[in-house]
Amino acid sequence: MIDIIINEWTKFLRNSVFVYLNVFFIFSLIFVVYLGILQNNSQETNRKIVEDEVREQWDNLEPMNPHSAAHYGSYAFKPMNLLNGLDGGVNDITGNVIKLEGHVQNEILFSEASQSLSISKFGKLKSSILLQIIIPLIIIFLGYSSIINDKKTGVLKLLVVEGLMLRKIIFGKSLSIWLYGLLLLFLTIIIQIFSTSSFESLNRLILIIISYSLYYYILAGLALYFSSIFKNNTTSLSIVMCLWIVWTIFIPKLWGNTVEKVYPLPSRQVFKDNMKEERSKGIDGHNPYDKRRDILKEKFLNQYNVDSLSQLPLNFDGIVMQADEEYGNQIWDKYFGKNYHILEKQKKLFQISGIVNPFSSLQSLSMGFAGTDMMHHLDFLKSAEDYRRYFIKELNDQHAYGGSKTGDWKWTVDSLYFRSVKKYDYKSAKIFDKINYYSIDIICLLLWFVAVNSLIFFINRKKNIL
Amino acid sequence: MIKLNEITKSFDDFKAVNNLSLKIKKGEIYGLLGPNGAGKSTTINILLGFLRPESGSAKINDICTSTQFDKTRKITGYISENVSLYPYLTGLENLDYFCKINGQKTKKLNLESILIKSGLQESAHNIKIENYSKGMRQKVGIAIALAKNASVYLLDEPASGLDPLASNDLSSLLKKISKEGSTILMASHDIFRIRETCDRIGILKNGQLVNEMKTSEVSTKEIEKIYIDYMQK
Amino acid sequence: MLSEFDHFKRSPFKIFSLLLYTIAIIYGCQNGYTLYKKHNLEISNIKTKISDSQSKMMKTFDDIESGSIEKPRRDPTTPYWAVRNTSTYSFKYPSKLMVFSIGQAEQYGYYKYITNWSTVFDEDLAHEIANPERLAIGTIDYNFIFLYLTPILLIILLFNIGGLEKDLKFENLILLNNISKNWWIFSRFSFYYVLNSILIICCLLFYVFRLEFDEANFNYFLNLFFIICIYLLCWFAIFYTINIFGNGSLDQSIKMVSIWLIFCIVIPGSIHQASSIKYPTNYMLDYLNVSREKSNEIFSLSSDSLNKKLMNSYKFLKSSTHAKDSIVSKSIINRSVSAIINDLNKNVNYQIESKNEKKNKFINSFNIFNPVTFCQNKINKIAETDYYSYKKYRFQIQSKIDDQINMILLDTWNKIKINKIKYLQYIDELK
Repeated sequence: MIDIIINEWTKFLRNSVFVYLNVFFIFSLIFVVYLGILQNNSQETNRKIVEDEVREQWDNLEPMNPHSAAHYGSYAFKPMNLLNGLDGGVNDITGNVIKLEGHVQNEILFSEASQSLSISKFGKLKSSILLQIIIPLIIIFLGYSSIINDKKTGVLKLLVVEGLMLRKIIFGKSLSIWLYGLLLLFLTIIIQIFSTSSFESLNRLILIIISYSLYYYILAGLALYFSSIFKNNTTSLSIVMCLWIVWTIFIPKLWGNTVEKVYPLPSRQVFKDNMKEERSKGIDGHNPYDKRRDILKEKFLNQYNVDSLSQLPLNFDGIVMQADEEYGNQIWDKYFGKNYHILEKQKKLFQISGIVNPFSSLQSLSMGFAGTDMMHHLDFLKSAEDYRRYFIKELNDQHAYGGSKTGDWKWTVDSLYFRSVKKYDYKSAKIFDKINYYSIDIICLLLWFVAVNSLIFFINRKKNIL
Repeated sequence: MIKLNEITKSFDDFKAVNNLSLKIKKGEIYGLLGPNGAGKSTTINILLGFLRPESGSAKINDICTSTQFDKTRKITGYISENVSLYPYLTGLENLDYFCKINGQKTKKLNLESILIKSGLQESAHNIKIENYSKGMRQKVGIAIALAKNASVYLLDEPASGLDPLASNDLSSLLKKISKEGSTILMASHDIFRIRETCDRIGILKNGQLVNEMKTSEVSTKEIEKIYIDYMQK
Repeated sequence: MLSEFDHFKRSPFKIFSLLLYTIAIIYGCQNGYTLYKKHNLEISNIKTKISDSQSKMMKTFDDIESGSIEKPRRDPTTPYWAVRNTSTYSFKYPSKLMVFSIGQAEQYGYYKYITNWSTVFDEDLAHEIANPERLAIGTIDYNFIFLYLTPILLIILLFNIGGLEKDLKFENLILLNNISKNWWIFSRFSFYYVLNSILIICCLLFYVFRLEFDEANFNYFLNLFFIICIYLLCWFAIFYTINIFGNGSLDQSIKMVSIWLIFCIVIPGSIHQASSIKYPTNYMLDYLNVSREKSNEIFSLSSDSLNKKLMNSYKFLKSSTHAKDSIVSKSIINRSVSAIINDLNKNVNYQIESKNEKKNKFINSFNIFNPVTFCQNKINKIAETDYYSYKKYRFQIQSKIDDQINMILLDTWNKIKINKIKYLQYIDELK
């Protein structure tokens, strides 16, 4: 096997056109990876500047009533994961900023895609485009004719007469081409490693290497398999190219549309109306005539055994605001929970397309392991909402128990208090906590790996040599 | 020794080899003469173990080629019409590679002596095959068979496209190999070359052996006449 | 040219590809059609809601006037709450040509509830709830099929024209027959050009008739068809050059695929990346500052200062009843503050749009090397699904916000009491 690999590599390296093209490609690859890192860093620097400025405004807030501060609110800026430079995933089309304030759960806004004309339908020229689209094409070009040429020249017959099994030749040649893909993959990852220092990123990079390695092996194996079963290069190339187009372009888009039809999400209007209606059944913190407010008031008066709100040792307005908030949170959990559930179902159905399309599995794993897929996006949204709840509760509690009396809206807290409110600090989820989400993709890739190996292993030796 | 016993092989409705029996002794060079489609290549492919006959048996040194392919290929050398080896490797590297895949670790000196034995000039050993003539490539092909000490050589149209000098070299080389005890089966439609090289000739038509003769007993002209007569029947 | 049909009909792979392509076109158009219908349906649902809400409001006016109910906490007889209760929405009605290009339609909202506090970057203007991965992967619309997959179909149809003859070494035999190589390949190419154009026009015309295009839309459609013909011609010209100088089917197909890769993926991807580095994603800090920090500063100003600010910015207020009063009414000022914030927002919007415009100019400066993106945006523009169509929509929203603010200011400062007739007048003006 090693002899076959050495021989194949000798073939590659003694072809001067191949060598020159590769030197050019490798430099381009390095440049593209570098640009990805540069873009990520510049975006991250911008985010930090904005985040610091917004926090500074909060820290230096003039004395203010805590509930006014809840309306003043805060912002959560979606951080760029370190591996965003490798695979941008959904980051370009999702928003980047959420306003966190009392009473309402806002949506994430200001996506990059909405800030300019549309450009590339395949995304930015990042490592992921090279790794997912260009390198597989090179693998196809290297593999589609490999066996056919040996067959045409009679070398294949000679190799078999000299003692090699056909499957061993296919495995050997597949491995040679796979190693080439692996070389480019490692080059990308090594440059990426220079820009990352966290253990988590390294874990993710290892998983990315494994996913791409599997995919490259599947492609190389299939290209070689087709090369061994067809008699001419044109047929072999046509079939592998068709497969590539269907896998890379058609199925992901087609299946993506289909899953949204199978598990439809509600329209924004219906969603908002339903939430609004349900929310109206709860306490309205700003409506003094609200009946539910009166019930809560009675409860507190009884609890403290007093006759009027002014006798309470706390500010009842703060209590009402928090009750309003908690009710709102339940509604949010219910409705967004439903949406998240639908999104998860959509994701699972999309992942199932990996059975017929290993590219879908790779794409999903690449985004997932880079921390830029939908699951990570939802994780960010969840974390921002958790922080919002903490943030508003802090302020409502301060309003209720900070020393003011009911109805005293002029009571204020100063910047010392505002500074004590924790800063929002999002850390991307650990990949091994989320790995379950990707089990279908992993299984599909492994199934493909086994299937390709089986195809090669059980190839009809005699029929395909002649 | 090569022994074909009533072998038949069809492709769909077409009988490529029809009840063919043949026996080639050790050290003998046998020429299979026939037009295109007569079944020469199919016979060689059956002997190589790439095709399984529907009936009958094909044996090399009493080993069945279709059931014990792994054994027969160890003792078989094969030279095709166009010996296209790896063009980016030199003659020496090609030989080394084939020796390695055959499980042999042969020293460079030995490889060179094999190439010399096959008739390839020393100056050509380290030149890439893409710069070789067809005759030179064939010599490397024979060297590959020599390196593994093949006792049976199967040649499919080996002289096609060779210039007269190279053809003559090939004939001499094959005779030399047969004298050392190897059995050679050579398929061709070149009457002159087959008469010059082989000890015995068999004429193949529609997959059947229609005539057999010793080359020492007939001239080229006579073979040609017999051949044309059979083909026109 | 017609003799090429004999080659074509004996190539099952080519026929199958053409069939697949036709299905893809129909699927793409159908996706656009579904979205067009969905937008219209959603808009019509909202309109029903608006109408219900306005009817309720009119009943409230009747009840207040008849004395059967007390004025609600948010008193609709004040101009402020009356305008707030007009249920004003701004819609971006989908163009019928959206069927042919979904473009950026899924990245923006197409309806917005308008109040005097609204801005053009409000969260209710976010795009429809959708799976972000699906959006990232992209939708198959006709624009995508045509721009990205047509060249692939052409590769399949054309790769062996002149190449097969070279592969089988009988090219010279053909050229001996008193025909020039260029003309021979050109005439064979022409067959596929005509075939492709007819196929496309047939598929598109089906939707033109289905949606009953009026004259204006039909003119846009003709523009679209013109772009289609030119774009096809460009690809045919590139592939023609490849085939003239090609060394066989394989050589030609690999060159064709490489050109496709460069024009459809590498160049747009590089420009996308370059534009991102030069103009990183805007976190809209200026906008955030207005909606928080600067608004807060305005709220903390005294009524007198706000009164002055308002009169400086809105000259027509100087002749109002309230302007002549000796005491500044806090409630009138409170109801007018949104006008000052709106001015701040408008300034910020201008800056944001300018930044985006710079980015667009940067993207457009590469049009000559990037014909695919150029055509993509041209088609999006025809279908009114490009950035500029949504920018125009944002202007439309802003104008409605301004209208509301002007109404509130004018009538609040003139202390006008709103009745049902005046309310209907508001509705009419804000339509």
